[in-house]
Order: sequence, then structure tokens, then C-alpha cells
Amino acid sequence: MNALLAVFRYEMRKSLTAGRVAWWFVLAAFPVTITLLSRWVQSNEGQIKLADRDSFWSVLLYVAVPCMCCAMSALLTAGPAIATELEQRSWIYVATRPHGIAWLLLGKFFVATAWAFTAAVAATSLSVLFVNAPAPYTLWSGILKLSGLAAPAYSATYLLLGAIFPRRSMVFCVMYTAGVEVLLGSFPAIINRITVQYRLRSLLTCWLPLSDDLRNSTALQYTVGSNSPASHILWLASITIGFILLAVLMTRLRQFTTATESDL
Amino acid sequence: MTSMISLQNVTRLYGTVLGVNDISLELPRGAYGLLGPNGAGKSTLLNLLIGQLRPTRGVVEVLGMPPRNNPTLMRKLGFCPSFEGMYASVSGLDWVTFLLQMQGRRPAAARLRAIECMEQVGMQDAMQRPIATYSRGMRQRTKLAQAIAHEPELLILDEPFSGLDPIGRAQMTDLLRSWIQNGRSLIIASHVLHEIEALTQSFLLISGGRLLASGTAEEVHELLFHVPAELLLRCTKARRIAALALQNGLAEAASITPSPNNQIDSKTEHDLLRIETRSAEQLAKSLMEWIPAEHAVVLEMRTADDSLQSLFNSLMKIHRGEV
Repeated sequence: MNALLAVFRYEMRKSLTAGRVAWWFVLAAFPVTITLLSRWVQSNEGQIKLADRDSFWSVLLYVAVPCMCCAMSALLTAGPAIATELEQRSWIYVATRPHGIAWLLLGKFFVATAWAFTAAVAATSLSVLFVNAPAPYTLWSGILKLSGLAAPAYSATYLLLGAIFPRRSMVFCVMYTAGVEVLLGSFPAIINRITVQYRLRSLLTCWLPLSDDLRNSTALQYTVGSNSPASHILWLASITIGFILLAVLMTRLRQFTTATESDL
Repeated sequence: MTSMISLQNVTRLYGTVLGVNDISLELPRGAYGLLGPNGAGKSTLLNLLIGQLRPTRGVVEVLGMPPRNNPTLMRKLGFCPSFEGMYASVSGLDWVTFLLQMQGRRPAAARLRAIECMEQVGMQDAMQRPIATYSRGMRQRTKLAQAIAHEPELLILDEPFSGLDPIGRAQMTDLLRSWIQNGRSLIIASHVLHEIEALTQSFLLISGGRLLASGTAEEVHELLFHVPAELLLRCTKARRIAALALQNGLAEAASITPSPNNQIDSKTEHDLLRIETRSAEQLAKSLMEWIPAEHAVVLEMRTADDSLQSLFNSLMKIHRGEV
């Protein structure tokens, strides 16, 4: 546990660079900007009906915070977690410690989750100040609960992708996001259940205020599950833990050398 | 007692390229130099020892344990790679502290030990500065500090003198000498022989992925009795001694360089006789008979290749099939 805490503290300090902090602000500002733009459009084009406001803000903040802000932050931090160690050639110092790689990956996972979740908290808290929803607290708590699940799930997913493809990890993470989470996740077929998106969307319908029209729409009927929230949470927790374990297993199986021609 | 290192027919392939080729050896605890030119397979061998690589064939054991994914062994092993790979933005002290915590030490204890080690490697004045501001030598010393900080049983160093100035080299040598004197084990890889000679007389010669020789310098010298060697004699009656060596089939060739103020084979002047032989031991014995019999006066007698470098060169010639 000392090692895990050490990695977390060390990686957190290491990641506190101007560039990383700037990205955090950009990601946190994105939902706020979208919210303000929506309010501006509404003020020009006319207000949304009171009955539809909850649905509108729920969906908008869902897309902007857990789907965009959390996923992007996790991608930026967890995706290159292994590649940067290999590129900097700092890998070997950790690899020659007891369970060093496992602690390193776990520490980096928590750091990625922390960056993603704190950005989500900031984004949601600020955005909710500007929404004209009837139940802003429900919106705030619902989005934060979703973010609390999205941040670790995406961090674990990108960590695993980084372990499988240490070379060009970011490219594969972006391809995964576009191809699997966005495209496959929206596909009205049973295959979309493997995605994080499917589970988050299903929880969206449970935890956030949506109009009956939206709940009964064909689009949602085929792209959300009717299982209990607990089953979706269990699924997300399982893939989070499973993906971390798989990432650790991948790095234990792979052979990264200290030679100049690294396996990277 | 288990061997420090045990390799049984270890081969490591990178695709079709041989990294290490069928190496077998047993090393008891102690200090060893791993010598070989660049690309000889030293780093591959070290990677096998620290468990970063699996052998394609054969068995590797370090301190009686298989090294791959072995946390117990990692507690007993200190490794210092040839490259830097340190985080530039943090201080040397923080980095060593972090790596000590990775060994399971509590933060406060890790900090104290890290300070102690940084002082031990002469980094007390710069340890709070970011690594980015360190010179090459300071980085080398910081790398050594992280390798020794958890007091490992076996220290493995890959080119630790690289980039050090003469003072840094001397300090590093002293540090490693005291490490060895304290009864700890060490494997040090280098392609510069005198660096290793200053630390240990036990070494492994590796080239082309093959172990050319191992043991003490004397043991390896024994291997050279049947290897062409050069014997140098500064003596009187050089022509007569050369003739005897050639007549008895103990010399492949002989050449005489007269002393500056002399004609060859003067009875009083000392010429330089150079004899090439494949039977150095036999020639040496015969010379002990010929010299008194011929009433020759010898000022100097030595092999031309008494350094590790020439030993290495000879073994390389055998390996390449040039001999």
C-alpha cells in the first residue's frame, strides 16, 4: 500500500505541469461553455418548454461531462501511461521493484481517475449555475454520480489499451473511442451492451429527470438497458477492475527491455 | 549455498537475431565484471538477470530464484541501467525516496535513507535540485543511489562510469570498492577494461552473444597457453636465442630490434627480441634453460599482451575463427 500511495503522490506531482493543468481547465470549461451557448441560443430563439428543460439539460450535461470531459481527460492521462514510461525509459526503475509495474499502473489509474473526476466536478458545478432546469440539484448529483462511474471506467479502458498498444497508444485510444464507444455504443443492437456508453446511458435514464416522450422514444428504447441501476453499476465496476487486472497481466507478459532498441 | 547467478544453456533470440547464445555458467557470490564490446549481448544478459526478458531457451536463476516477475528477488536486487531515464522535473532526492517507497518503505524512513544514500554518492549539495539541472555525472551518481538505497544483496550496474569525469570515476570506484569490501555482490558491465580491472579480477568476457571466458584473470590466462602469444625479451645474444626457438619449433616467427647504439647480436648490447609462439608455456620453460646455457643477459622478459585488453582481443580472435 505504501508503494501505491507513493506512486499516486509521485504521479500526481509529476502530472501537475502547466500543460496538464491547462488541459484540465479546457476540459472543465467545455461543458460550461456549451451550457452558456445553449442559454444564449435559448434567449435568442425562445425558451424551451418547462416540461422539456430537465430532459434537455440532462442530456446536454450527460454528453458534455461524463461522455466528453471524463472520457477525454481519462484518454489524455491513462492512454499514454505506459508509453510515456517506456519513451522516457523510466520503466526499468519501477519494473525492478517488487510488484512495481502493478503499483505503477494502479497509481496511474487513480491519478487519471482523479484528474477526470475533478474536471467533471468543476464542470458540473459551474454548469449547473447557468442552467434553467427546475431541479438543478438532481441534475448536479445525477451527473456527478455518472461521472464518478465514467472516470474510473474510462481510465481503466484506456489504461488497458495503452498496455496492449504501447506504441501509438493515443491513436488506438481515439480509434476505440470513435469506433466502439461512439459508433458501436449508439448502435441499436445487443453488441452495444459491451460499451461503457451503454451502461452510462442506461443509468442516465434512472438517475436524471427525463421527459416521458424522451424515455419512450425509439432511439432510447434500443440504446439503453432496462436492468436495475445496480446491475449497470456492477457491470461498470467489473470492467474497471477487470481491465486494470488485464492491463497488469499484459505488462507482466510483455517484455520491455533496457536495450536501445526498446520493445516500444 | 546457492549460486549467485546460474545460467543453463541460456539463449535469447530477438526474432532471428541472437542476443545471447547458449550461455551456461555458475557464479558464486562476489564481484564480477562483464566485459564486451558494444552489441556483445551485455545488456541482453543483464535484462535476463533482472527478469525483464525471458530466455528463449534455457534457465536463468539469480540468488537461487527465477528472476522474471519475482518480487522476492526484486527486494534483493539493485539495478542501474546504462541510460538515464529519470524524471527531469523532480529532485534527485524525491526520485530516490519514491523508488524506496516502491520497495515498501514508509515515507519518513524512505526519505531518511534517500538522504543518506545521496550523501554517500556525493550528491548532498544538489539533491534538492530538479534532475533536469544535473550534469551527466550527477545523474550517474543519482542512479547509483537508487540502486543501492534498499541495500540489495546483488548490485547490477550497466556502464556506471559512462559520462563521469576523472574525479567522478575515482569516487564511483571508491564507492563500489567499499561495496565489495562489505561482502556484497556486484556485476558491472562495461566495454572499458580498466574500469573493471580497478574493481575486480573476476570477469566474464562476452561477444556476439557468447560467453568467451569466465573466471579470474589468471584462469583466463591459462586458456591462452595454446593461443598465439608474443614474448618480448630485452637481452644479449638475441639472434642465438631466436634461432634456438625457431629450431625447436617453439616460435612461429621472431624479430630483433637492435638497441639504438648497437649492431644486432652484439655480445654486450641488449636488443629487443620479439617471439611469436603458440606454446608460450613451453617456450618460457625452454628459455630458462637456454639463457644460462648461452650466457645471455636478460634485462627484461614479458609477454606483449599482459593486459586484459589483449586477453580480450585474443579471445575474440579465437571466437571469430581467426586463430
